Amino acid sequence: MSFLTPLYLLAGLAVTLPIVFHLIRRTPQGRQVFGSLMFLEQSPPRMTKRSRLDNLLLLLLRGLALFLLAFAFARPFFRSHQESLAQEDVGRRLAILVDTSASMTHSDQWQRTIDEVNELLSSVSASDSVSLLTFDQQVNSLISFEDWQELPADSRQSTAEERLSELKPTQRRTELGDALIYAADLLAQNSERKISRRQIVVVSDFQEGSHWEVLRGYEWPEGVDIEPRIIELENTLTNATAHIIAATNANDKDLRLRVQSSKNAQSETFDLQWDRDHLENLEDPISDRSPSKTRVDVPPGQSKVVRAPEIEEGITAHKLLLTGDDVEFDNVSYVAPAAPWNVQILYFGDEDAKGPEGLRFFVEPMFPSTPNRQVTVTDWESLESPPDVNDPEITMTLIGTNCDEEQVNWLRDSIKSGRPAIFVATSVEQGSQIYDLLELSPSPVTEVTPEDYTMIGDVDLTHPALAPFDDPRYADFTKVRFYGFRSFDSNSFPDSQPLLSFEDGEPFLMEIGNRQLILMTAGWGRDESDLAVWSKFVPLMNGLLEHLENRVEEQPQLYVGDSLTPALLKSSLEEIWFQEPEDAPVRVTNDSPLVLEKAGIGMFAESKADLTEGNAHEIAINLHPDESRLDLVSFESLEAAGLPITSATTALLAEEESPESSRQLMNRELESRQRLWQWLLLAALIVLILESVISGSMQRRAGRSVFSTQS
Amino acid sequence: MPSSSSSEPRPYPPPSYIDSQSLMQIKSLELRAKSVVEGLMNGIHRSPYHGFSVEFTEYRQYSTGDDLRYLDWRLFARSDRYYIKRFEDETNLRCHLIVDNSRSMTFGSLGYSKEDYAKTLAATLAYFLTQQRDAVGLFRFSDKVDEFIPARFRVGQLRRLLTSLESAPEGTSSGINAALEEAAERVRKRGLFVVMSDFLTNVDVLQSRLGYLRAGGNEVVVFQVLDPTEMSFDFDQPAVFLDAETGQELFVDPEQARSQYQKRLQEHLDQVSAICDGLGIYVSRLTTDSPIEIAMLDFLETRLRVTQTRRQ
Repeated sequence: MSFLTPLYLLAGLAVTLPIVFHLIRRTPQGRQVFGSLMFLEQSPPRMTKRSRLDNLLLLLLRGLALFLLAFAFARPFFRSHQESLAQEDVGRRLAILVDTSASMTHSDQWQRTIDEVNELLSSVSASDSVSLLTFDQQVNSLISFEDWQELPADSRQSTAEERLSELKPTQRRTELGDALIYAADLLAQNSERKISRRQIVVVSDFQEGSHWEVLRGYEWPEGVDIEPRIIELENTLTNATAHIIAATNANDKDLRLRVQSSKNAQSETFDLQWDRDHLENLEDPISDRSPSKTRVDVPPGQSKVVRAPEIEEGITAHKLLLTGDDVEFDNVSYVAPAAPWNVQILYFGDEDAKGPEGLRFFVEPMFPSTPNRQVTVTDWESLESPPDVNDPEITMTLIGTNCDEEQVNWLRDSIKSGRPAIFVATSVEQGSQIYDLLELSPSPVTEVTPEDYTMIGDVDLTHPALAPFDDPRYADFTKVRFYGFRSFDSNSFPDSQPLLSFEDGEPFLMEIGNRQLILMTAGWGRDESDLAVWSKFVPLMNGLLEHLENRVEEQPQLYVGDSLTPALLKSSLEEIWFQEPEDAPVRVTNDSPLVLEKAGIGMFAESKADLTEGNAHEIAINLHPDESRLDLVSFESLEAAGLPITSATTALLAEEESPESSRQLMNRELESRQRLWQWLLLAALIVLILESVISGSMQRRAGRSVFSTQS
Repeated sequence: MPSSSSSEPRPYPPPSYIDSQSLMQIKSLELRAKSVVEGLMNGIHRSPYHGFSVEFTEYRQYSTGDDLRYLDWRLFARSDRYYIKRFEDETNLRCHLIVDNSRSMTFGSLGYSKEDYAKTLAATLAYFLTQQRDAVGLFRFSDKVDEFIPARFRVGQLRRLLTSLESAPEGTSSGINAALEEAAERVRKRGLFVVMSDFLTNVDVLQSRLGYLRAGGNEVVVFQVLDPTEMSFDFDQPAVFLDAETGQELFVDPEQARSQYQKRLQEHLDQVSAICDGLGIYVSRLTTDSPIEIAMLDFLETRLRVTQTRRQ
């Protein structure tokens, strides 16, 4: 028999107490002040034979109860069971998380990481179960627990080291929180083997921008602790980084960047300049005062917004370099030069552009030119001769009047050739011409004049042109009123889709064919509707323009690690072809996204052929800005979020004591299984009850005898 | 002269005496004294206890040999008979109260101590005597005389006495012998000394000290105040007994020690009685549960006898 807490047996010495009390019958009960002790003498404590004989049973019972209690507290258990248990090996369950994010590429960080992991692996004992995981934006398992178990014990470490040596840090950002949750869930799973400890060892630089915040809402499983192995950077490292914040177009003069400096930066002056390495005749370095170089002073820990330097002649503005800091990996910002987008709208109408009464007046304000887009509006009337139907310069037609035969023929050919058109039905007669243009059998068109006014009743927010309004803040279409419109039979158009409908269900805006023609059943003239003064009108028309032209004016910022889909690129296409820098084209759909791996200039197009033929759009892929925040994360905050972080030293101590602690653990387990203390406690209770009963009956007997003597 | 109050059968206490426990509940010493004295006066104002006070007057027919100084000439003028004023040989009484204020007096088993009792008795006497326009003084002693107030009859004297009585004990041991010696030295005029103490001290020299007082022609009355527990020693639990004066500690089992204690105490008491008897001193042994009035009546009775003895 063994004891879990043998020191409690010392309490068994308390057994002697009742014996002592029992033998000394009269011990001083207290102190008594007395006038004078001159007539008194010291009386010796007395032991009486009588008391010993009378209460021997009680004495035994009391002693036994105390002894049982002491015995129970010492938590006894039988060793014989342990032999069978000892066969089972008890080891740690260890998840090693290796950071492979972009920040690990700095200097010798990666080599130090590998060394640290190798050292960790060498300290793993044969009974331990290990899973080697890498993490950046996602978690990859190099060796799972099952793999580890299957590997022969002597080749485990070498296999792990081998796999590790093949590993390279990626350019992705760090998602420490997700990785920890993944590992914790992995460890929390029940294992059939005996486990002495569940531990996650994180080998990382623990940078500030490691996105651990998700852990705040996560309930950390009990019994899983974290040991951070910090691959620390120099404390005085200067790291500055530039991120594009507005206008992603390199041609834009308003291209602005935020330059941010690390907290412990030693220098404050950094330079921004375009990459000139590809210049054939690389001249002398540009002088500090040149407009091709932007010098920026940023105090440590702060940021500043600056304009990009001017583009030198002969430079392809793709790479913007930042110099002046110690950390290289985040010093390049990629900017894609957007291809110029020229929109030429051929307007069919006879109104004067001067007054706000007609449609023409609003066309130019409706489609304004922007830095990325050049819009020209050409009136058919002003042309001396009809233009070539296949003229690629003319990108769209806008029909707002009754067309003559020549115009109808031209338009019919234009629509057939795939040039999009917007058809505004201003009257019944003019509206009927749409059938002619689309070569459909005519259906009756009626003029509708509501009693007072009508409003938009139904909006198809799933349509790409209206998708930007799909937000409770912008989805209010009740501000616009219509005083008259043309009613078309929607069944008369094959392949038509109403985008906006009036209250009575009649369509107001209809797409006919795929990007073929947009029909508006009411114009924006002031006598017909309030469209021209409606705040959503210009965004709506530009949305239609982008949809019809299948172009996006502003491309989103892409970061390494993002899952690329056509939707992310604001494309309404089902599938696109994307080519990452120095990589082969890949087909991307909304269901099979492409995870971006490399920073640089990517290209996308509608088809693979377009990509190879140079009809592709360029888009910049940059490192995630948070990856540049290299300052050490605050471990206090991590602990405050409920993470059980053990320092390396305590972990080391725990490791040193591991045989002892595992034996302890086994003992505890044995004891908790046998639970002998409960029986001992029960026995002590029974003895005490017995003692009470006996002493009670003895007292009663004594009382009776006194009574009888008195009587 | 009686040897001891306990030796005579007494007609009292009558049920109307104030229970000393109730009396001790009264905080003010003056009020206590007043209650006792007034209760007592109600009972005795027609009593034969008179003769030592100027307030009390009585006429006695002149007989040959009486001092003519005390002949009431006015009465003679009115009635043509000779009468002698009864107070002829009584000067104003000078009484000194000698009160033991030592630590041993602080013992008490009834909720109040021997000291309280003795002080109440002293206050009562002082009040009573002041009422009768007698001069009262005080020796308050512990290991030495803590305070001496010469006997006077004047306004504020009673207040001084009571204030002094109410003050806390200063010394530790009971220096009754020294106190008696000092009293004999300091009080030159003859008078009455009332000693209130437990006499739980060495009595070897008590005889000589009391003798000094007696030799000066003084009357001495001794009140030996004891707690009932001190008499019976009826503790039931063994305990460490702590001497109030010396701080000495002694483990005592009462059951074992009782008979021995009582025997020794009785020897001591007999010793005190013997000394007093030898000197013609009246000893009244009081336990603190007995009414103060008894002590008072004892005192008055003694005084009466003294005066009667003298007159004879």
